[in-house]
Amino acid sequence: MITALALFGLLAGWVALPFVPALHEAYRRRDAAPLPISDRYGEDRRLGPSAGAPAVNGEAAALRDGKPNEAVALAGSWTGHDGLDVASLRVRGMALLGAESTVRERIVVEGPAVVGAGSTLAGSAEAGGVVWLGPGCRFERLHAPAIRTGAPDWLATRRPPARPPAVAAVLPEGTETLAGRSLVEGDLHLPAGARHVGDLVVRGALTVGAGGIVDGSVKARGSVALGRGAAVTGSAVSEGDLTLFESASVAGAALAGGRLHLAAGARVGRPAAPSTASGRWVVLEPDVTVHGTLWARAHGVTQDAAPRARRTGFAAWGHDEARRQANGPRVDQERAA
Amino acid sequence: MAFAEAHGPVETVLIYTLGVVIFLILVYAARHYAFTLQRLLGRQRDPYALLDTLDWPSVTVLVPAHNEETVIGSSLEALLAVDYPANRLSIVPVNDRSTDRTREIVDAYAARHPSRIRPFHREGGLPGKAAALADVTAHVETDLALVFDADYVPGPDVVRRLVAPFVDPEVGCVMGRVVPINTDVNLLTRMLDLERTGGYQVDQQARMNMGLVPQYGGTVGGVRVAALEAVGGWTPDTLCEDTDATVRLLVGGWKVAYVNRAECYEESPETWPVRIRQIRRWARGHTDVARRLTGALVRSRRLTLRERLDGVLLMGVYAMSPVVLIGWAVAVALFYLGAHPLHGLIAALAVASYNTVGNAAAFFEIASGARLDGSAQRVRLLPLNLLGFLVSLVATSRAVIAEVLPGGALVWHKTERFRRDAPTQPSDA
Repeated sequence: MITALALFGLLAGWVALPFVPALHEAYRRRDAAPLPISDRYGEDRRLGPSAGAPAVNGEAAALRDGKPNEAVALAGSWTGHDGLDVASLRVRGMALLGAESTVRERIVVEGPAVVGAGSTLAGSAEAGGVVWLGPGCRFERLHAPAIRTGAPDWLATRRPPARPPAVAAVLPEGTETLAGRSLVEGDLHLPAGARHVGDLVVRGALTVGAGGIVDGSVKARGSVALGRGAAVTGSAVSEGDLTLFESASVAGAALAGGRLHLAAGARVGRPAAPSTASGRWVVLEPDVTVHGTLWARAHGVTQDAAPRARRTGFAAWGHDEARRQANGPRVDQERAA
Repeated sequence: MAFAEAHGPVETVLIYTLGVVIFLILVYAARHYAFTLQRLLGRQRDPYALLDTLDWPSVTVLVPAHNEETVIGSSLEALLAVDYPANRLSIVPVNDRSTDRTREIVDAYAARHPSRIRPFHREGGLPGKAAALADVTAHVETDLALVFDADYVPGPDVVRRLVAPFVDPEVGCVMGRVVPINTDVNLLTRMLDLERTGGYQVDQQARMNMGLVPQYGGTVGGVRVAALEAVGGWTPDTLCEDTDATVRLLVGGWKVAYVNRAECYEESPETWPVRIRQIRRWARGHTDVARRLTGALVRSRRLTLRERLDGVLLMGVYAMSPVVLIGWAVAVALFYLGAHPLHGLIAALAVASYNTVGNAAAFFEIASGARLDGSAQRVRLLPLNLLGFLVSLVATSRAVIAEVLPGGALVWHKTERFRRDAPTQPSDA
């Protein structure tokens, strides 16, 4: 009898054990406030980067050559030396970062900014004017009225390719069109010069041939490739890779679940309607323009000069086939030459 | 044959019934374990979180309100303060046949902010939020419509976060996260806070991560108006217009996006009777939708097999409550009939039912959600959620049985509000 009671008591105590901290918390109420709903996700790193470190509010400090600095705020325009290493930087005027500079958390420039070759902008970078990124730069999040790679405007000579007369695109049989949106099973290739009016949702990969136009937004479960000079007047969303070949443009957001590759002359957003270009990895060739925000979840890089990128860039990223499909025989002719 | 000889016909039927019940419960257990492990260990998918710069489209925010004089002021104040371009945001309080001061309060706000608040007064028609939304949506002029219940207090960035996913032309509706604001009132509100954490932080986000079917929850969410109209608009005579819209949009080839960072405060029920009425309404409405639309969901060729499977399990989530009760009853009956070889099955039933069928979230989901939220102390209350689980089990079972049995019309009951400090006049800000 005593043994049975002891066993019962032991079992009851074992079962009741979890209720001890529960009743303690119910009585003492140490964590009863509503969860905060703003700025909390800086801690939830599993859902990606937050907006970055707080703005620099410290007093101006002299930059010491060759030594890492913490928060630095500068009153006027500023030219940095090569190899600068600073945690955060605020510049009231224009900023010129020397080659191989590193900003580890945040940079805020109220005017335009030029970022020297091989620099690294970790965290968030914001500018009130145009940002020029030199080759070999690495970045996470950039925000500016215009973000450009390569030579400044006054040296740029690239012109958008002449657009062939648009012909109405013919979608495959079985395509459903509902509420202004066409739903295509499998892959879709819009031929060069074709024009489609309305949104496009493709369950496979989407390629838009050179000079093709989509008056609306596009979404593909697979990759999206916009050929040379192709244009999307809405947004372009890919669950895989999103590639804008030479002088292709997306007026709205460009969103890639995988790699976002903007080839020479590609544009995202408009000056009057800034937008967001983002991908897990972002690769920018020279002479790219993004109006608004450019955000790489993992990392973003600017590539070297265009001719080298043409020779090695796409092959290295596995884009040869997509490039051939999107741009037609021109690429093969270039290779042959 | 030997099995039938060893047991009588009654025992045999009960054993097979128990087997089916345990199989169903284990399916749901596996589903919830998969969600939890995915959320804790898997790749997170939040594709629209980075869209912080856009040419923001015009949007209409609908605020259905039936006798909401105690809360509507807070909601309108919060909506006026969101950081969305003011010239692209129309706030439409939908005064649905109110008999209290709701109309007066709404009109005062409209008079103060005539370009931003455009009230819609509804004097008759079918009762209920679904009918009110059906009426007002016919007057919406924007491509997008967001919905906030009148007791909800949105944060400053929630409208942007809810609008951003619509850049994806495949997205038909979007859902944000609900966070209780009155957690510190009593034990019930604290337990509901934990349930919400599991349901949103783990369950919904995991479904988003896994490419399954997150659910539009009727508030802190929005729809693409053309998409909704293409699948027939709001169903006016349902108790769960949210689940109804979710399923019809999915069947129509649209996707639901869940945005965990689009957080909005809500007021949880503070008394058990109010909570029981609320969950019975949800259970009955959900089961009604399941009865009408599960077939279409299964047959839809626009959905992947995974989506269809998850959709069917989502449809059956409330029906699991009576299934669990049946399982318990059968287990007890078999015990007294002397069916001893069933020890293993009964143990599986006990463990799986405890772990699986809470209200909206299983217990391990709640614990994981609290961990992701960084809540170190509140998770200690988890064992007390057993009480909420049992109450929900009975209330939900009654509602599901009432829905399945013939007769008995769907009646919409408004959830009672408890807040008393909401402004009744527009602030100077």
